[in-house]
Amino acid sequence: MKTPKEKSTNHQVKYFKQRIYANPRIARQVLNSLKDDFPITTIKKVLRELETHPLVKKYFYGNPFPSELKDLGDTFYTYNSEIEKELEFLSLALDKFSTKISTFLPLKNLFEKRFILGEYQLANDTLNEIKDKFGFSLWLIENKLLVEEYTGGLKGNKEYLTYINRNNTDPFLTTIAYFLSIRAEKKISALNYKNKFSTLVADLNIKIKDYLIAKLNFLENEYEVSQFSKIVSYDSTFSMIDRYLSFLQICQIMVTSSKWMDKKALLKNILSGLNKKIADSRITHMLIVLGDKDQKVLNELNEKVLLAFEAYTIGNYQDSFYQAKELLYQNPTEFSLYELYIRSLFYMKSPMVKIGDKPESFLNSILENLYHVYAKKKQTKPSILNMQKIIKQIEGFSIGIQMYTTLKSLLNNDWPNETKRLNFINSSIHNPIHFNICPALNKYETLNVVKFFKQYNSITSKSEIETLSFTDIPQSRIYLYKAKKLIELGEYELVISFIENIINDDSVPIHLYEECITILFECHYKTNNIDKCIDVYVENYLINPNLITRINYIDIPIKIKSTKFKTAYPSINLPIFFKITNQDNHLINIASRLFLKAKNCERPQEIVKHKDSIDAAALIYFLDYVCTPEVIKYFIHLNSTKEILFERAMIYLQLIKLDTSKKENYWEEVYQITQNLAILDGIQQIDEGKIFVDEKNLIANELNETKANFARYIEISNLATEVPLLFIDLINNKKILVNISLDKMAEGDAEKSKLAENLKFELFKELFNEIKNAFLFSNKYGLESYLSTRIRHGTLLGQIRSQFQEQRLITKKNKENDKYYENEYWESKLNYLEPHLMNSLQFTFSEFSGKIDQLIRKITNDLIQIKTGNKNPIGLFDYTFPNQDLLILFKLKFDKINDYDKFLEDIFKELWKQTEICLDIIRAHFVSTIKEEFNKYLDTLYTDIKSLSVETKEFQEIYNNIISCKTNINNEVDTIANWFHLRHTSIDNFTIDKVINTSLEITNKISQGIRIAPVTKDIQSQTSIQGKFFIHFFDLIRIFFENIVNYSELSSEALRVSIYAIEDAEKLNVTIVNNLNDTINKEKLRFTLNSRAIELNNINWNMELTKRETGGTGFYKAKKILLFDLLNEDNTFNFELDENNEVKITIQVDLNPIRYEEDPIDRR
Amino acid sequence: MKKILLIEDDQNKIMEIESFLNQIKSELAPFTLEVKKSYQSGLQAVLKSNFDLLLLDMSMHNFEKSLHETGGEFMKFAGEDILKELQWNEITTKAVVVTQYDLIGDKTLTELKNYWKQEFSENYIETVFYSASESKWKNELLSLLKKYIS
Repeated sequence: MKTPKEKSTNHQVKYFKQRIYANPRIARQVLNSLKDDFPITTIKKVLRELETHPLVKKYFYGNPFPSELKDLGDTFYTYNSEIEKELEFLSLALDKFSTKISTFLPLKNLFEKRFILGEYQLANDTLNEIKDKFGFSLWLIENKLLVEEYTGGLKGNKEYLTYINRNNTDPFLTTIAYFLSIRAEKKISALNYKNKFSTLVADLNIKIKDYLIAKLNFLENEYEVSQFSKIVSYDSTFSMIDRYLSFLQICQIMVTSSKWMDKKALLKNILSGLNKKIADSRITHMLIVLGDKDQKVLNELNEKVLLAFEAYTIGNYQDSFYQAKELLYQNPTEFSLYELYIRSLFYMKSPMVKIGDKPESFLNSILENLYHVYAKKKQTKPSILNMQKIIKQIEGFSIGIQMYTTLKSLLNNDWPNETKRLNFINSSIHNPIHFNICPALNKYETLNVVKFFKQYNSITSKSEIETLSFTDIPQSRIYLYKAKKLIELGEYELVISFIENIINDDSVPIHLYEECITILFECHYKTNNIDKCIDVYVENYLINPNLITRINYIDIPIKIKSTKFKTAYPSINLPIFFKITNQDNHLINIASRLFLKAKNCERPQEIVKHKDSIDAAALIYFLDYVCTPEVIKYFIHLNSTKEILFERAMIYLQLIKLDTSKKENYWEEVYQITQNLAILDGIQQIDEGKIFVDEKNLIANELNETKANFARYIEISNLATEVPLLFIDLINNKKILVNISLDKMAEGDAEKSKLAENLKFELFKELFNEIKNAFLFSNKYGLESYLSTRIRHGTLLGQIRSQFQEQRLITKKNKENDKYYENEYWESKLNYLEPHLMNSLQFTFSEFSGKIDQLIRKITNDLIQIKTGNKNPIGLFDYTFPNQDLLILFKLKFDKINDYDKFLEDIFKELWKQTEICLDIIRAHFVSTIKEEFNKYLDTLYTDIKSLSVETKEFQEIYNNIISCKTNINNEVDTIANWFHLRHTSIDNFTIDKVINTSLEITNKISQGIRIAPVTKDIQSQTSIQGKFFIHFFDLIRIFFENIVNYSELSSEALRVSIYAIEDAEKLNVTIVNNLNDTINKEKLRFTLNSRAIELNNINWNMELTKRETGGTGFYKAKKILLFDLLNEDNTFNFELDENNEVKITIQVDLNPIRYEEDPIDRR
Repeated sequence: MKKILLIEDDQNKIMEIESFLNQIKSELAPFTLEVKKSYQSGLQAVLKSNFDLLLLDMSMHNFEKSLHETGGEFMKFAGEDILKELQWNEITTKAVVVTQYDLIGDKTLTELKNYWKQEFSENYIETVFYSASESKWKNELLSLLKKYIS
């Protein structure tokens, strides 16, 4: 028995009829088999017979023109077959509704015209008419959203979207509508839309992805879409309008792309059928592209268009301009006319002229942007972006695809056949440039423009090139086309001579010039002349960077690199070329090195001696943009960060002379670098000056008693040899009996006291301890006070903690519950973690934070302390001199000293010597024990996190951060260890801005995430201050900056700090103002500040600082610095919470004792 | 006497590598080890003397840090830049990258290894993944050293 496939067509029709009517439940299955297994002729016949059957109707036509929004998309998808079958199948439906489609198309065109002309209300009326006649469609939604955006703004757009969402919940439709709504927005850039769309489709399967691309982001992806049959299938639930437009999209890609060669015959067949029923120039044009020469395409409009092009071709630009203008107003959906209009304007050297009475219309917007694209000026780039945005917005208009294909050719130095054909298909008029696609133009061969293109297309060899001679066409145009043809023929040398003829003519408009240099570059490249390529590229870039955007330079740096620069001449253009083509800095440096070497220069600043033999613009560009710190850092003869900055400053100084137009900018740069150098210098001085005792002031102000005691020491020790005396050792509460015989001792004296063998030694010890105590503990000038301000007061904590914070390994402690905050960074990055794993991770981080803080506390509270008696037993500054050591010292040195100054000098020497010993121990402790402890904690953290057994990219990032932290913390501990050195370098005189900048830099470095970026920095003080006061000033300013970071409770972004430094009547007034978090209790703070002010006024320097260690001592330290370190007890310092609830600190310093003078008088 | 140059800024890693080289001394030809801790100091050493092998870290500062030097820019691909300089100066010294990271910038170590192999075929031999808590790197390094320092 024969299968249905083997039966005659009539039998087959009968077979399907029986099966569908017999069992409606399997009807769809039967129709699927019909679609899949039978030829289109059979399907047609079955359809004719069964069309009245409701399921068959629905299967073939869906809901072709849904009158209600809720019905759009509300039907089943058709069975998905091969693309050939899908197109044939769809063509049956299109054929069925061809009359309606043919009625729709002119209305669509009318809508587009009105919209482009800015007649939005009329456009809306047309849309309403379309809705009434053809119901709802995705096309209608797309354009309604666009009109709403342009009439009701974003609100109108979103209101219409809401209307759609309320009336239809189909997921496809709502997703598409949502994105169409975004695409319609005026303020969204093409790139922004593209990114949003990419996020949408990132994880979708290719079939859905391709469908959404076709509907929402077709242009730019047009040749990447491959799931055509699925697009047809998904579309089957929507309107016939949508299905027709998708059908056109698919056919255009298949017709223009060489990938679908085997389907061309089928396409021709389908399109020929529809062409007879649907009046759409796109179908006709597709048939022309497919080689159907019989198509009649020329009409009255086309004749007018050709005449306008004729005027342009023969150089009658005024005529072509006016004709284009008139045609454009009537046919604003034809992009060729926009081009003709703008090109004519350029030849007329005329500025942009808008059309009509709506300057803001799409028409004028397109014209204006196109004008700027051709102008190759500053506005070119933004205009390209605007054009891309317009294209995205009107992607569904016929002009959208024309603009897209033309812009593509304007941006790339190529117009591939595929996009050229797409352009042709979507234009309803004929640009003569498409002569080779549309030979029907032959009819007008009396026109120069047609004759010209005909002739141009017929040339097949070099010898025929001279046949392209037309006396009525401007010579430059002839040269350009000759050049283009010769390129096709591979005659590059000849092309170069033609192009040079054109570009040497000054009257050539810029867009033509640009085209010429693009060709010139290509020819030099083809003839392997890399140096010429580079020259063309760089020289034109320096004239106008927009001239070289179409040049495809990609292979040149690769070639040069692969031959280790042996293929390129080391001219100045070489490094510039590498720079402007965004090569990596190392490569730019190599190119620069070669150029400098060829000129016998080592450093960039030396090149200026050759300025007479180098193009001025190139030299300026080289120095300004190529020789940046990022590039010159690779020069082997620049041996430090300072040298790099210095070289850059020298380059700017040269530029000031070479390029006076930008003199002020260069001076600003020099100033900035000088500031940076000063900051580097300042940081170094701060690091070098951490271990300090103000010996001079100590002697002058604190040891006055000691001099008298010394005199007594000399006197009493002389007396002691003559008479028996008894002294009381106050320190040890023991009597010291001197020169008394044992039998004269009181009872018990022998147990409680000792016989001093040498009275002078005992007195020496008293003096030694007195001086030592002042050296170590003087609140104003002693070691302890500087250790507290310069190391313990937040500096060390910040320096260490910032390393862990940078790698997101620790968090801060919540003061209210004494627990560490959760690590939010990893919490959000690892949002996929199971809750128990997240808890374990947070616990690990919290424990780690605790360990690190504990270690830092140990360093500051226990180790960087002065060990005395029972206090600070593990303090590393150990000044306990055993009796035996002191006795040796005494015997060898001090016993013989009778001069006070010499005595004092030598005691200080001993104390400094002991300090050196302590510092050696501290450094060793840091680089061994402290480092080991940090490493141990980091290793434990690594192991603990590993034990969670999660192997994702984010966990890899945690491990990498731990490793980086290990390297960094080791380096940082080395830096800190380096603070513990005694240095006697002299510090340069300075101005107050250096202090402020250095303080800011250091505060920001160690502030664990909060940066102070002053909103105002007004420094009006140029007084040079003696270098020795630099660190005192730094300590002072740092205290206030640190308070801002610690107590304002604001993020870097919210923090507003103003700094003023103004001189008035020999006083320097520094004011620092900062805002505070709203949540801070201002009344409480005001009360605290007032109490602190009262305390400060009654301060007892001998008591206060020793009582307070860390926390709350900042103001005391500040006052101490002002009064004692800056040498005037009248210096003042005030603080208040002002009327704006901002903290205001005002410092006033007398400049007289600290000012640097040529011949300084020691005013102390 | 063979010469090895270690360019590395992590003091712990330096100590580990030094101590390991000491341990395996007897298995190799006599050699000296020089250590540099930055891009510039490493590069200058390479340009000044001939080495038989470079052990190269990837990320480090431009200059060696000291009291007078902040170190300058932290260069993520400093090691790669040194390989470029070797290539550019036509120095044929072989180099082993010893890194603790399996992700540098946005590139995985596997991607980078392939790139280095292709781009610096004259100099680059292999990458050893260093981990202080594991000893696998020692075996890997030893087998490379046996090949080039023997």
